[in-house]
Amino acid sequence: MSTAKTFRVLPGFNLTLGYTLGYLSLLILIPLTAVFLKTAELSWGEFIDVVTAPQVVATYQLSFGASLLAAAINAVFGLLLAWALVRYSFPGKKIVDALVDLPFALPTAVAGIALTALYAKNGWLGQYLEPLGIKVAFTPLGVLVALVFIGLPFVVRTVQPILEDLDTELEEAAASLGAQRWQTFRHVILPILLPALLTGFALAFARAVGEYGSVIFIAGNLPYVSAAGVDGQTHREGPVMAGATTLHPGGDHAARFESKAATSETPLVKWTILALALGFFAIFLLLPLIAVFVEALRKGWETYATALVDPDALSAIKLTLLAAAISVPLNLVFGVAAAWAIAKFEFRGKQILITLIDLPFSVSPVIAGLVFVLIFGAQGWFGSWLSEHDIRIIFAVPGIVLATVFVTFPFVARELIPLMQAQGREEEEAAVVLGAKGWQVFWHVTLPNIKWGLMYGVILTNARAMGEFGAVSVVSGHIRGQTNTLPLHVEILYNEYMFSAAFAVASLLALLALVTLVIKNWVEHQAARTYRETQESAS
Amino acid sequence: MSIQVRNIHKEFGSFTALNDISLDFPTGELVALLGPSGCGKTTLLRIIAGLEQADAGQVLLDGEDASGTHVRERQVGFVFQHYALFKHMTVFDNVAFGMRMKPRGQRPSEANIRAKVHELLNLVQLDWLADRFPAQLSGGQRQRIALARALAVEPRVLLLDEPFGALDAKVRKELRRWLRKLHDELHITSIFVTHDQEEALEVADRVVLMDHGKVEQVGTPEEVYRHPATPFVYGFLGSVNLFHGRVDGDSVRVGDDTLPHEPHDFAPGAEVVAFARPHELDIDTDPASTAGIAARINRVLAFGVTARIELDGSNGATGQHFEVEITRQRVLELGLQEGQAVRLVPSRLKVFEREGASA
Repeated sequence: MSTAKTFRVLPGFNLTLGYTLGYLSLLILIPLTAVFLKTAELSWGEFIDVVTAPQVVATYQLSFGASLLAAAINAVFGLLLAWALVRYSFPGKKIVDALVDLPFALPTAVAGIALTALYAKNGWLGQYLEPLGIKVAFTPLGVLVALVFIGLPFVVRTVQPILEDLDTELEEAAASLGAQRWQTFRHVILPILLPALLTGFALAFARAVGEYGSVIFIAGNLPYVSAAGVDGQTHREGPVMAGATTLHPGGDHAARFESKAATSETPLVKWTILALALGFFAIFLLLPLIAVFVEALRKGWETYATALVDPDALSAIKLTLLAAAISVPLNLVFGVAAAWAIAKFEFRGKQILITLIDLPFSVSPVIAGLVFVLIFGAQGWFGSWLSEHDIRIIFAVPGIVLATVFVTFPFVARELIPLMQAQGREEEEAAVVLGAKGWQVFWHVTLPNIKWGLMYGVILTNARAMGEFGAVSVVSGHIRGQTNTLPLHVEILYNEYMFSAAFAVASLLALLALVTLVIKNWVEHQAARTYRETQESAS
Repeated sequence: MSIQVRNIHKEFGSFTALNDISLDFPTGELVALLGPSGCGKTTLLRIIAGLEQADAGQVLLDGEDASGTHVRERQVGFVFQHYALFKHMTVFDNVAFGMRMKPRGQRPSEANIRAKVHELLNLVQLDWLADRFPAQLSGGQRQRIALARALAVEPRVLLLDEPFGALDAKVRKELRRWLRKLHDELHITSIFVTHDQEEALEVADRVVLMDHGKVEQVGTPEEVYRHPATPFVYGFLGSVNLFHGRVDGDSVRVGDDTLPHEPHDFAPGAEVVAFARPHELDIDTDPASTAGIAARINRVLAFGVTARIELDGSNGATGQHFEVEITRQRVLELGLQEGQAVRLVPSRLKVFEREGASA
């Protein structure tokens, strides 16, 4: 180590890195360590017994089998949908494009009851499927449908940017060398798309394995039959969400492809692809969304309004807003600090830090909830101390807030880190050379450059905070009027057969999802415009 | 095989890319489409290839109308500006692509494909790169592989879009010579697009000059350089000094000065533009002289065999800049100094009626 005093040009390294490490340790690292220590209390024999119990093995089969199948279905139809969105122009395309993200934004609890409404014995689609001997709801097939729903955007959003960036010259070269359209696709386009397609497949699979919220509704949790794993693994919205923010100036690309002989298909092929892609979209994405609103209003506006102003519902709304109002600013500050330390400075262990920040993505929400039960629950580390001092965390509001902060932890940081890394530090250095102080640099130089990415991260954090089901469900205790968030309230109402009320509350959350998508598109539009303008002024 | 285009018209939105273009490309010639960016030359090339559809007009390949033929049936070899090599395939697979895509009945055996690919790679002198991937090649190598790939399907014509555009100056010169040599061996009818006049004049048998979607002049490099048909061609091929003036008897009046010029058929008083190349101007240091245009020397750049003198116009041509090329010897003889007032006397002058003045 050099003893000479080295100093950094840009300010705030110690502050931001220190804050990042502190916050990360407190909220993520220490709680997760607790789980491993708890597991270590089991002997190996006990551990093996637990993980190989017949019931558990059945969940493995369903978890992995259904997830694999769902991911495969999504790979095929996601590719078709991405192709249609990039290559063809058709009315309503912008709306379809925006709604592809619905499964990201729609709370899983809402997706679950929507799918149940469609596929139950007397549901919209179920009533036609039942006579054919096809049972969907409360069967493995239903689990499959739910997993297809939540996995679709992963494939579309990873393949779409690659398709958009695809150099038309390659297809033209293939055509000028005499290749048929199918040959061009098979030998030129597919090999280029394959890595993205596989990534999308893997992400959809990982998401499906860890899914809890929507599956719990449609599966009905009959042991051995439909108990999809709550032992899930990876949640990796991160990279895809980042991929979706990758800006592609130029907007609609379809005309570019459709006008040329070498890059367009015969009408028959084109219409087949469009029909398949849009049909799939309508059945798996659009229909569930419509179902929520139709079911909510089935018994009229009055019932709808009553369900929403019910004191329990109001308190659920309040609690949901409170959890979001606390976790969004906390994770926003953390995200900015972490991104500043990581993007503007070089230090050892940077890659490890980035991986650790991603950790909550890779932890199934149920585990996230269990973590806090292990620490603060009655049998937990601090359980007896807390009860002596009459402090309640688990089955109380603080626990819900903690779980929400945990699951929404990486969103802002994940948006900002690549963005700020790509922007480099030249502008900040220039500001420092011109005499700006730390805050001035951030406020006048950095913030204007990252504002759209920041907004994007906030929207995602907020949507997830309000819609989280799994983790919150574990720590909540479901005490009506006290520890019920909106998604939990949906579940309670649903389990009590108050369907209209359940759908009314669900429609609120669906509305929130739609608003999220609208804002997201607006932000993307703004960011693309800013990007285009800077490109133009640069050239 | 010959190529003809007849009355080709193409618009992109409200922008007219090609306006009623008719051209003949005789068999076996190497023709350059030359013009500034946006003049429509690449669009014309892509229409000939079938990559783009003309709004009106015909493309005839070997006398047959090919306008309705899909690009994959036209049997044209097309080399893209950025080569469009398939990154996931080796050099060998890239070159073999066209042959492997043929319908089963016409597809050569794998052994024949192998032989043909190696023959082509030998032709472009890159056989030793067969197992590499495009990313591992230099720009010049990629260019030659792209050419080999296009030749593999035995195209009837070869079309090249800015073939040297993406290369650095040294490689560009080398490849130019190499392309000319290759064409002399193969004698395949070829058209290439370029915005570099030196490249067009050096490589092509014939040059088509285009501007704003129209053909300005067609001719051998010698013809277009020595006898430019329009002010655009004059200005585009090489550097130029220009004088705005008015016809006055036997001379062109530029401000208070006059330029002598050869017999002409302009009406007296017509607004004209007169052109002279830098080497067609001489410098007169005699303060008493009244010939030519008054100017002041701004800079003397005399480090080669030829010296370049930069001047600013005075009198009637104030604000104009001129450039003169004379031998270094002559600079010394005249004892030229920066800031000195001199007169410019053209030895040769090309006069055009000013566009817009007559209309």
